[in-house]
Amino acid sequence: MFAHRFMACTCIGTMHKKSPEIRMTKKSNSPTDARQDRDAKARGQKLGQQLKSLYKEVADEPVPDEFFMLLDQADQASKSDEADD
Amino acid sequence: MKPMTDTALSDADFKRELAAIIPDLRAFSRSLCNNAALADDVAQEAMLKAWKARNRFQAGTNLKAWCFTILRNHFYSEKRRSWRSQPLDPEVAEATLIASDDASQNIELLAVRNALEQLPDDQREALVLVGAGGMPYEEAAGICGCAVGTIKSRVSRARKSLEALLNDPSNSYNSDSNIAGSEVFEDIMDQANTIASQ
Repeated sequence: MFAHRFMACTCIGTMHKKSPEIRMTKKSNSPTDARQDRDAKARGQKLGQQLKSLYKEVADEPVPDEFFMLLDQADQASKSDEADD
Repeated sequence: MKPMTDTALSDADFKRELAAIIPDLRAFSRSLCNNAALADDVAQEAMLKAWKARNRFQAGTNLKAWCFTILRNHFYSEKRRSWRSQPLDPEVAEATLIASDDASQNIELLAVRNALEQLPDDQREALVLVGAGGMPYEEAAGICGCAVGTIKSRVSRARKSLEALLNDPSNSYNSDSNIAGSEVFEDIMDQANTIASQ
């Protein structure tokens, strides 16, 4: 029993020391500061997701056929160039 | 015959790998041009330039980063001045709005796109490559031709500016305001009319 409780305390103590949030939020003693920090972090994460969505939105579109046509044409042209050599 | 070395891909392999990164070329180009049709022109030209230069590509290195460098150089050397002056493509804005079922999410995305457009070029491209495209800092630095530390600070400054723009209550696209979808559509139609009357 005692040993368990002691270990639990040690664990929590270690987590506090290692937690980057605790280290980075200097002097955020008041609950308001802590909430603002959390909000800022959440906004940052949301922005990151939105940026990825914007990029993915275009990347996920079907590629217009014109791209493949042009690439095929260029490929054919270089093949006939080689044949001429 | 073209010279074949150990480090060159065969034409067939190169073509296949190049075709596979077209979606990324289009996405990066769209972030530079912000106009769907013009962005595709730039992406196509970059793709053809990459094809022509294929013998200079070293197999095993990053084809996407190599092509992005070509696309970026092409964009800045040829098109920048005339293309940046193009108004926001109404079709792009509308496509963003109808992209998903969640209307408020779409409006927020449109707001991010508009805010992104207001960033300086160097900050926008850094944020798009790293933040949106998920590219490592080292590769983004290689593409933009600058130091890794420079890219890191540009990404950081871009994020801060973007957040400030999105949270500024004086911006009509502030994501926290209760802007109605119909107002956004009206705005888009106004833009479309302006373009049509030019």
